Amino acid sequence: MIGLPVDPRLTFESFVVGPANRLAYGASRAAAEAPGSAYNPLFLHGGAGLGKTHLLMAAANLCREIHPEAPVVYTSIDRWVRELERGADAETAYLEADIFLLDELQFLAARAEVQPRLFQLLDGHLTLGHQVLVACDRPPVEMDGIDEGLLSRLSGGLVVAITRPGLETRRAILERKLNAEGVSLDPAVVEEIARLAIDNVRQLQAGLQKVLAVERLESRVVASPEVARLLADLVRGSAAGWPGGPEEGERGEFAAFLADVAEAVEEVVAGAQARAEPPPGDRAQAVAHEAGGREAKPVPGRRLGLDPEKLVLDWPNLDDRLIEEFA
Amino acid sequence: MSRVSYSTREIVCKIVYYGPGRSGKTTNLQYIYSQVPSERKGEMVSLATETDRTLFFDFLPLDLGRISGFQTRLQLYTVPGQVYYNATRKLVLQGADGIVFVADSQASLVPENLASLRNLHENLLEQGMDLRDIPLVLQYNKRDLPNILTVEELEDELNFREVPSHPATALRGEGVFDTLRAISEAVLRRLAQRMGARAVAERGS
Repeated sequence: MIGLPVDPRLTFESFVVGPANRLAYGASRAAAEAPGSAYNPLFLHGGAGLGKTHLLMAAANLCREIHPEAPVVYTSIDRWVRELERGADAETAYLEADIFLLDELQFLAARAEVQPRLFQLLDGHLTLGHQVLVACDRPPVEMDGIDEGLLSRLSGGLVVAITRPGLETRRAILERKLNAEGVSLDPAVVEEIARLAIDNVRQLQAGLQKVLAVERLESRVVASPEVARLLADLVRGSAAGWPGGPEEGERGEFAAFLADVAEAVEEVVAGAQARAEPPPGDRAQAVAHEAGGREAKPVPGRRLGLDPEKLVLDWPNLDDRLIEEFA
Repeated sequence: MSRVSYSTREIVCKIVYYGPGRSGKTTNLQYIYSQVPSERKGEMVSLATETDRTLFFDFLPLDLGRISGFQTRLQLYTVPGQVYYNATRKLVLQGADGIVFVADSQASLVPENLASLRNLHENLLEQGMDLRDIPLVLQYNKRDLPNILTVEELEDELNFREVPSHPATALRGEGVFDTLRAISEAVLRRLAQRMGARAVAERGS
C-alpha cells in the first residue's frame, strides 16, 4: 500500500462552491470524471484551509466510484519521499496509478535531491495519459528552489487559484456544517461568525465548533454581540487579545469589508477574463475594456479649479483629473 | 464610469453618496476614512465652506488591493446637499456606478428627503440615466436622535423601489460599512453581469 488514505467524507457534494473556488471545483471534477483527457496536470493553489485537500480527495473518491478498476493514489510530498527512501518498488507502484494526486507540493523546495525523480514520475504519468492533480500553497511562478523543467511540467496543464471564500460562501459553509451535525444556532450568531475576518474555512469551522462548545458546556445560548470576543483568537489581526484597542477593531471592520467584496470582484474578473480571451501566448496584446463602452480621456495635468462654472465645463474629465490631482 | 482593464489588471468603480443637506454623507466618508489602514487610502479631499458644510464635494479614493490579480479601487464621492448647488451635484453624478442615498431619519425632515430623492431622479434623467438601472442603497441615518421615524415608516416614505436599506448612526460608525458593503457588492455584481453579457455578445458576433 502506497500513499495516504482518502477520507470518504470529503466529496464534491460536501464541498461548498462559491466564486472563490468554482473553477477549481469544476476542473477537479472534470479531471476525476474523465482522467487524463483534460486539465492535465491540474495544479491547485491557495492558502491553508481553503479546500485544496478536500478537492483532491473528492477527485479520488469520485474516480474510485466511477472507475473502480482504475488505481488511484493520493499522497503528500513528505510521504512520497519517505516511501522512495524505503525502497525502489515505490517508484513503480506510483507510476501504476491512473490518477495521481500529490498534496503539499510546497515542501518540494526543501528536497532538491528528489526533484529529478518527481520529474520522471510526472513525465511517465503524462506520457501514459494518467491524470495528475497537485496542490500547493502558492502558484508555480512563486515556487522558489524548483527545477525549471519540473516547474514547466507542473504548470503545463491548468493552474487554478482557490481564494478566501466571500461572505455568501462562508454563510453557506456554516449552514452546511450545522445541518451536517444536526444542530442549530441563532441566525444572528451564524451571521456574526461569517462576518469575522477569519482567514480560512478550517478556522471558520473551528469558530463554529467553539461557539457550539460554549453553548453545550456552559448550558447557555451565545448572543451575537459576544461572538467577536469568543473567537478573537481566530480573527486576523487580533491575536494580541480582544478587543485590542480601536486600531484592532478598525482593521477588523475594513478587513471584513474587503473579504465580503472580494467575491463580487472575482465575478467581475471572471467576466473580464471571458471577454479578453487573448490568444495563447499573446496576453500582452489583451485589449483594455471599459464597461461603459467609452475610452478614458486624456488627463489634463493642471490642478482642479474651484469655480463651479469651470467645473461644469470640465465634466467629461472630472474623474480622471481627480485621480491624478488628489489620489 | 467603471473601468475594467484587462491589460493593466485594474477595476475602478465610482460610488456617490447623495442626500439632503446635513444628512451625514460626509460623516460616512470620514468614518470610512478613519477605518482604512493608511496604505489603503488616498488623501480624502473635502471642499467645504468655513461652516463645515460641503461646498463642492468630498472625494475618497479607496484601494482594495489586488483581488484575483486585479488592482481594485473604489472612488467615493459625496454631493453638496444644499438646494442651490445642483450644478455640482450633476457634475459629481456624472458616470456614477452606484448611489447611496443618505436620508435623515428625523420625522420633520421627510420633505427634505423626498425633495432630494426627486432631485436625484431628475439629475440622473437629465444625464440619460434611470434610477431603476443603477444600483441604489438607502441609508437611514441619525438613528440615535429623538423624534425619528421607525425604519418601517421610512421604508414607506422613501423606499418606493424596495432597494436595500440600512439604519445607521454614521457619527458612531454604526451601519456605515454595512451600507458601503451593500452598494459595493451591488455595483460589482452589476459590472460582472455586464461583462458576462458582453462576452456572450462578442462571441456571438
